[in-house]
Amino acid sequence: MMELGYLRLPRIQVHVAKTVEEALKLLEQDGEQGILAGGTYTVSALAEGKTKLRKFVDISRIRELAKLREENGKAVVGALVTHAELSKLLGHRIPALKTFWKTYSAPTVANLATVGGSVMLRKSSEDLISILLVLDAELRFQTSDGESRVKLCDFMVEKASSKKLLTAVSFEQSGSCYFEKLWLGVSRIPIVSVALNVRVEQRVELARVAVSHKDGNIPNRVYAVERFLEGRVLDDSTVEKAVHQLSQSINPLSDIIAPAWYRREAAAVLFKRLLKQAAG
Amino acid sequence: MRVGLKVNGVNYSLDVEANERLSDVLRTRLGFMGVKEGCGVGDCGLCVVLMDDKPINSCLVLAYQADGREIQTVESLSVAGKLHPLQKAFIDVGAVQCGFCIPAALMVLKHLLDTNPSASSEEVRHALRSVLCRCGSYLRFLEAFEAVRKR
Repeated sequence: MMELGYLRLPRIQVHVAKTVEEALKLLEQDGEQGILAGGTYTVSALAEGKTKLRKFVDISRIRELAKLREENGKAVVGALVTHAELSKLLGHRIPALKTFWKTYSAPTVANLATVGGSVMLRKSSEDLISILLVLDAELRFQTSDGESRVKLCDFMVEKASSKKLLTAVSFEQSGSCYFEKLWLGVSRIPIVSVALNVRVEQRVELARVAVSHKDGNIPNRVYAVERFLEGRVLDDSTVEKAVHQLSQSINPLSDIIAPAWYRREAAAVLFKRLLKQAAG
Repeated sequence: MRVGLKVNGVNYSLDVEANERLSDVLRTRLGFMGVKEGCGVGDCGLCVVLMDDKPINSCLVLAYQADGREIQTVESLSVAGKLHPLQKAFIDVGAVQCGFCIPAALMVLKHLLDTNPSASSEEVRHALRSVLCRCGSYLRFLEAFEAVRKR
């Protein structure tokens, strides 16, 4: 076998799709195929032996999936838009995306990693998921039967089908959406991250809160805290109570990076910072 | 799979296997030894090259995916034996210790210099986050960038 460097990838079979229709046809033919896009997760998973998949449909050449547009005030972001493009194009409108970029562990990876790839991973390692959750993101999937739409918060807890293709993610462009994370500088994996989208007039009109480790290593919204915040004046007392409630409402996993109790404490600290930022 | 790559201004056409990465092809097939492999999973950034003018980890790109793309490696920096100002500055400030990450650091900073020549030190640090320097020469890299910017 030819020498491929220190880490050899196993032999794989790839079909390159040029259109969504072609990709769906290929996926229909064989349910054992994975989808390959930016490759930042899949290629490293192959190198580390973390995936048993050996057959892939490569969608990285489907140009229509790499577009970003606006629809009724919402951003509609193609699944192949990269993290770098997303931050550059929408960072000035959504403060959370600016922080997402500032705290990005390796900007070179951001030039490859895609929005769709992050969403489909459904893991705490993907900072973007928490941000999209608080922006009420909706996923657009294409199947051979047509388009279906799923709320991201519902998608986080459902079983994914390998025969549908994520084509785009739509979400609100909120100027009061903030993001914070605690991370180890040399690791791509955050210890914990928190996102907040809040609209405050006299009182909190709307609150969306998401944590990267809501349950185990799955990000999701923290509904109890959202319900608590809505309708209240965002003063120091409310902030303290909301922070306490957040730490009681998440169930993060313990792993080699941090124990659960630490993640819970850290999430509370980050959330407090975000609330203070929102309160001005 | 037959692919065409333009590397440092030269066109190459070659057959690649689906599991060959861009870093494998650049280093072992085409001989661009400035493309290093460190972690091989996108964490260390030692394999950074510019693809269509954007810095990317070449260990995360399958070679066939780079078909039709333009690649720049560190070997493109010096022209006719004349060092790029960043290379010269690296020498002047003594930025090189073990040297293993230098090609990647140079390519990341070259991209920054081309796209944002007045980058703040915070922006330089942000860009350098992509490259893991075990010798800890980041302050020297920053110094070198600022020296070039001042010129």
